[in-house]
This record gives sequence, structure tokens and C-alpha cells, in this order.
Amino acid sequence: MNPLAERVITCPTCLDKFGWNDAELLQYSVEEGRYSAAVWPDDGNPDKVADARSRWYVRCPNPSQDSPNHYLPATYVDYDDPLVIALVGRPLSGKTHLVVAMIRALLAGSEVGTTELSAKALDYYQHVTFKRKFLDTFEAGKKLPATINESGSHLAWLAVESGNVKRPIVFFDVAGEDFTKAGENGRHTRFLVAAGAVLFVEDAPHVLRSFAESRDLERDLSLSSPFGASATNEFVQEAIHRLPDGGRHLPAVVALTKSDRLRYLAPADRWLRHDPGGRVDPADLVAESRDVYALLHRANAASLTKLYRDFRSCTMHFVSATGGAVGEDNQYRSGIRPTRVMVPLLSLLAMAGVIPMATRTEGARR
Amino acid sequence: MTGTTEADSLSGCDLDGRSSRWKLIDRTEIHLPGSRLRTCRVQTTDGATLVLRTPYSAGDESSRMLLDNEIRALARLTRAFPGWRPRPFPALVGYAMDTLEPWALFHDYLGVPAREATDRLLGSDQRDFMVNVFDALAHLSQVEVVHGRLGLDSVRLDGDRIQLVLFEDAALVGEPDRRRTGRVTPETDTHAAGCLLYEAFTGSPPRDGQPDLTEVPLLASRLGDLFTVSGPVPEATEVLRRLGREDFPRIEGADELEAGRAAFDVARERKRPRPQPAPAPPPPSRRSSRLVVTLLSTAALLLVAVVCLVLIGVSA
Repeated sequence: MNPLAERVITCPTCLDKFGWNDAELLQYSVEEGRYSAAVWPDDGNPDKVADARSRWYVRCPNPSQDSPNHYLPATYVDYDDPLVIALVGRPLSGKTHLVVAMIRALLAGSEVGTTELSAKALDYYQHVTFKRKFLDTFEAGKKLPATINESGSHLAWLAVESGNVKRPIVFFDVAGEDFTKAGENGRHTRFLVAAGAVLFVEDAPHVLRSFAESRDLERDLSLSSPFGASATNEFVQEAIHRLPDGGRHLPAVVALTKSDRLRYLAPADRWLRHDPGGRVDPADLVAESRDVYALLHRANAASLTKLYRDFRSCTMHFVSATGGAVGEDNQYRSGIRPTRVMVPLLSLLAMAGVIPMATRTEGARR
Repeated sequence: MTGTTEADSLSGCDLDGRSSRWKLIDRTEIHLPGSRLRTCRVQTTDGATLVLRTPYSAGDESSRMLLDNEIRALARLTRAFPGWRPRPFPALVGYAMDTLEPWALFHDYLGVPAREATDRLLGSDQRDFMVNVFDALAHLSQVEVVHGRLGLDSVRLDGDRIQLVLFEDAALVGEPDRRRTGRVTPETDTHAAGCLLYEAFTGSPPRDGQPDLTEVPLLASRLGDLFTVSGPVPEATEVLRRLGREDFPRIEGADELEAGRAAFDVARERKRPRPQPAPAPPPPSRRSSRLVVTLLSTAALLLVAVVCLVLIGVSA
């Protein structure tokens, strides 16, 4: 019996709380596509059991009975309650590319610097699918498919460790349209109720429309609107209405995606080259937020500057998930160069108490 | 911006990020000593002569970075001095970086490399050349750009005008230097400018960066500290002042982000937790006030008793 057996946990899929019970451990068969009773290693070798357990599951009892069958990794109970990170933004703003670039960097451990942050996949089989569908496609320099999330479930979850903190982080990414359409009575965006941190995404062409490509203008009519595309962002506003108490108590970041379009425009030209070395430096966070805010203010992107004013802890960042624009053939012809994708994530994790803040005080120049 | 390079046209974006296309009718490669990028002078169908810079081989990441450095620096300068004439740098016209064969288009280069022309500088020409070099550096410092490889090959001369080119190693002030051992500072350029002037006036570069200034009284009299090893190196505007120039380059137009930064500062200040007012001193406790009342009452009684005794004594 697991010593934590009676612990009450929150399911990140149905958001129900229930007492953990791993009496019925399950294993997943890829060939059969179904779950069956776990088979314990014959000799009971603890190392083998631990290895097997990392691929076992427990069925979520879903006390509210409002979701189809779903399963939690057996190791879920080894960690603190999950930090649910909600991605919020308009359609085609680059949410999925950003979160995939973040997860890629997080798993590679390449940009975590002095935070001593490590991450691993929590759900083995889900990660295999995620890797094939998203990470491998991204790595091959191909455009990711548009998000179609019919179940409103999370995109990915990882177990992160930093010092004494061991916590799952769960990324919810739904189609931008879902924030304004009450799909399945709002079930698609129900994750907002459980959000522990919010990652707001807006793309640079919506802020500075001269930087939109002709294909952006064809696909998104709001970019050609004489009333402006950036002053209001209905997707952000609708999401905030779903957050408990407007979410103002939650750590929040605003990521200005596709900032590679601004790579030769100050101050983005400096920030995109600024390597924080994996540090979460409060002075840098303030200096960059100030510059992003100033750019949004100049572009009259009022609904985004409001986020900084309304959310108690909020930082703003220039990011580029791919480092460049995609070609007509949906390929990133010069390869992918994710730029500063970890900065907003590390800022969120620091504000949520998962990793420590650095203490250096010197800010970056403009 | 997605860019394509066809035989006679370039698709990319202009300085403001707008999708643009340039049709070329002629392309002639020019040799630029010291450059690690291919350079061609091109004619467009609308009659303009421009300079096209590209990496020598497609997919070469280090050359791509050199081009990126150059575009970034010259984009800053072109935006900051849109109407300045003559510009001491080639203005950026367009670029495409999201392609296997990235490129950048600039306004045509002036004259010839200074290495080919400085032997013709005499008397007041030398002084004008000095002023123009530091005037160009003052433009750079206004936008926090450091050229990073200033020399006789990266300065072009056309009569009494000069132009800085080859911004392949340019960086912004405060960024890590090429060796990543320190930070980029404008002093790198002012020191390099001193060395290039010395070479221009004497025909040979200073040995170990330490010139014999007795050969060049023009430098020795006012700019000896350009070559200092330990002390501070003067800024370009300070050098211009010493050379008698009082009108320095200034960025044209207001800082468009200033109002937004001020708004951020106000918003941030409002979010700061307000300091709690200092707690009022605690009211005196009942015990101590009772003690005060007792003492005052006793004093009053004693006073009355003394007065009575005095009155009795007087009446007796």
C-alpha cells in the first residue's frame, strides 16, 4: 500500500478531487489500445517495480461522472498538486508552437541555467504520442497542425523538479476559437477554473500590423479591419471572465509571439538576442516587461496592457517559437531557432514558487 | 518574413516589415577587402543602384549571423536618421532572413575604401577626415551600435564624405563581446578609430596598438588618450568637441516608446504594496493611568494640607 494512498488529489482532466487509491493498477497496451490489470515483475525486484510503475496507470473515478474514462499515471501521487498552465490567445497566434518549443527546451534542459530545473514526461504513452505528433514535426522544421481539441483535455504534462519542489506542470492549449464559443457548454475551456498560472499569447503582427505577411492578411480578416485588431482581444477577455475572480491573483505572463518579425526593430532587436543564461532575473523581467508594455501602449493594444495592470504578478516578453516565418510549403526553410521561449515559462514558474528568483539587480539596456 | 530569391527578383520585406519585391536588371559582384559576405552592386527596374549582401554559401550559419548583425545595426541607424544627409552609413532598404539564401539590400556605397585613398589626404583634408570619422561614430553611439571592426577597409571615402560599411561584427552596447569574455562598449570603436587614423596618416598600423604619436602631431595634440591602455577612452562626441565641432548628431523625432514606458512605471508603482502607516502609540494602560491619578490626587491633598497649615499658622 502506498503511504500516500489516502491523499486527496485533483485530476487535471476532469478537475475532480478524490482520495487517491492505487489498489487497481493498470497498464496500457499500445497494440490493443486498451488498459488492463498491471502485471507485476515476477521477482518483485524494487528497481523493476519502480520502472514498471512509471508506465502504470490508475483510472480516475471522476466522481462527478461528467467525463469519458480517463487515466492518471501511477506516479502522479508522488508529486505535489499540479500547476495548471492555461494558454490563452487568439486563433493562429502561435500558442501550440510556443508550448511545444517550451517543452522541447525544458526536456532538453538546455536553457534552465542556474535554476536547477529538470523535467521529464509524466505520462509515458501520452508523451510518446506528443513526441510523434508535435516534437518530431517541430524538430523537422514543419508547421504544426492547428489545434483541434475536442475533449478539452490537456496538451501535455511534465514532472518538474527544482530543489525540494517536485511538481507536475500541465499545459492546456485549446483552439483560440474555443474561448469565444461555448463548445460543449464551455467544457473545452473548463481548465481555466483550475488554472494555477496563465500564459497569455498575442502575436506581433496583431500588434504592429505592418509586420503581417500577405498570407496573414488573407487568413485573418481582423488584421485588415479599419477598426484595428489589437485594441481589443475578445479571446483574452472571454478567458478572463472564466477565471475565478478574474484570475488576478494568478501568476501571468504575456508572450508576444512571432517577435522574429520585429527582430530589426528596437527594443525587440536587443531582447531577442539577450540570453539570460537560464536565470530568472527580476531586474531583467521588469526591464523587458517595460519595453513590451511600451510597444503595446504605442500600438494601442489596450486589452494587453490592461493585463499587466490587472494581474498582481505579471511579466511581458518578446518570444519567437520558431525564429522565423513559415514558407508557402509549411516548412521553416531556414530551420527552427526558438528564441527566448523559456523566459516566460521560467518567469511563470518563479512567480508560482516552483523555481527560485535570482537576485542580480542590474537591468538590461534598451 | 519569408523571402525568395529568383534569377532577377528578390522578395522580402522593407525596413517597416512590409512585404516587398525588387526586380533586378543587373548584378555585378564587387570585392570588398575584409568582408566575409558576398557583395553585389545591383540595378533595379525602377532605376535605383543598390548593394546586395548575401552569405557566400547557402545554409552557412556563421555567415547568416554576420548578415543578421549588419541588418540589425543598419536598421537601427536608418530608422534613427531617416532624413540625415549625407548619411555616414548605407541605409537599409530591404531584407529576407527566413530563407535558405538570406539577403539584405542597402543604398549604394560611397566612393572607395579609405585604404585606397588616404594617401591623398593632405593638410585640412586630414582634419576633416578625422572629424567625419568621429561624426560617424557619434551617429552609432546615439543608437547604441558598436561597429566592432573599424579599419581602413570598413571606411569609405568620397571627396570630403565618408561612410562606414561592413557592419558584420556590429553589436549593441552592453551585449557580450565576440569572445564572450566581456561586454561591448563604444570605446572599442573610438580606440579603433584612433588606430585607423594613425594608419591613414602614417601608412602603417600602430605596433601592438601603441602608436608613436611623435610622428603624428595632429593626433598627439588632442587625441593622445584614444590609445590609452588603462585610462578612460573619450567618447566620439567628446572627440568632436575637441576638434571644434559643437553640432552633434541627434536622433530624429521623439522616442515613440517614451510615453508607454512612463505608463508602465505608473502602473508598476500602483501595483506596489502600499507601506502601512506607522502604528499609533499604544494608549496608556489602565494601571499606569490609575497611578498617575493617584499621584496627582496625593499631590493635591498635600498642597491643600500645606495651605491649611500656613493659614492656621498665620491666624495663630
